[in-house]
Amino acid sequence: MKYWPYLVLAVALPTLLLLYIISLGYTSLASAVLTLPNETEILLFTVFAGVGAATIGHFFGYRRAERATRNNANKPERKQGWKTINLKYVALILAVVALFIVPFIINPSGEFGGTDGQGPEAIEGEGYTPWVEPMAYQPDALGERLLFSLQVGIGGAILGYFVGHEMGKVANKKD
Amino acid sequence: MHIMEGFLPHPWWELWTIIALPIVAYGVYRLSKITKEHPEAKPLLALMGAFIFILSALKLPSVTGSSSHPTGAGLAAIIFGPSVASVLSVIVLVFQALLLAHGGLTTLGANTFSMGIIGPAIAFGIWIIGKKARLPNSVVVFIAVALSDLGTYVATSAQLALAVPIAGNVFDSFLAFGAIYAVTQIPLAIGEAILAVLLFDFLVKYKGKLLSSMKVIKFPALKVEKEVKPQ
Repeated sequence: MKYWPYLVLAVALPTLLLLYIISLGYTSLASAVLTLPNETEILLFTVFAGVGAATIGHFFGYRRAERATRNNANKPERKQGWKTINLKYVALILAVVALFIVPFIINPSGEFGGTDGQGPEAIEGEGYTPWVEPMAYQPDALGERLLFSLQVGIGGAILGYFVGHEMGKVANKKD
Repeated sequence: MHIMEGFLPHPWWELWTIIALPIVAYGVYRLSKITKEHPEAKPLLALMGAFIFILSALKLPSVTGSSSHPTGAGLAAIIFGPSVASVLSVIVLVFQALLLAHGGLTTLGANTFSMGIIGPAIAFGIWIIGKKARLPNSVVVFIAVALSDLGTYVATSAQLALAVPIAGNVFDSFLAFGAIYAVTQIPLAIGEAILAVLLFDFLVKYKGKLLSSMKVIKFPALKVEKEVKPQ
């Protein structure tokens, strides 16, 4: 099992997250150098949570698969290089990333408000008032970021564990 | 696509709840049947739930200058059937309604209908037709998931137009809501579809045997067996 990709991510992700939080001006270290639309700010927090949780999940899934097959054989570790990464997948992932960067290039001053809020605004603009207030917990700005990150983190951990487990099983079966 | 708490007046929220209930109940029945027949499919079920969890919390920007989020329910519908996707959607919607004030309890039925019933039904329908037409799996997954995502937002627009016709009549209101919800959603639907194709490809490669035993795909298992386990 190769540890270095996990180690790289374990150092890089918290560092990037810290830089992101500082540049948003949430700490007393520096004033905000980065102002993002609310929804985009949440998106980046959730992406951090998702990638982090998926990395941890992948690690434990892969390790479990490896431990389950360790007793079967003492095969030397199969050499895996960059060639195992399929170019098709890289291209598709880059296409997805590009798809969500392009809006900022086309529309640099856009508000990027959520449609979930715009719909109700349009309705309230016509004089409709909701007949019942939200009954459950209503988070503030920080709570919203944390809870959306939690949601993506839960999903990311499961996804990472599954993917890591399957990859670990296959990698340890091969000669 | 979440309709906020209190934005569906009297007869409508009850109506959508009554429509959604039996389908979710049938989904629970299907869920228990699938886990009994294929116990090894449980991790896959968790994976589909995780996919919906992730995608429905990503507030992605769109070229229209607003943001929205994908749903993720289309892929679950392809693999487990639309009613199981309804159950998974309800879990996510309850999480968001209770903790994030995103959507609401009175609008839970309407949101389940758009995200957990219409979307998955579109994805499943296109998947079945595409399989009959013998199109490549990835192409069918792409079209099915993209249209299911878009269909969800069209359904939300229709629900709001019926209940709160802001532009006078229902059709004009539908177009007005569609301009807010569905147009923003187009690039997001494409993004979700690409992610779904990636995950589906992974599943065919690593879980091809299980997928073919669940009759999701036909015979790539043969090819995968040679690739994965040469022995």
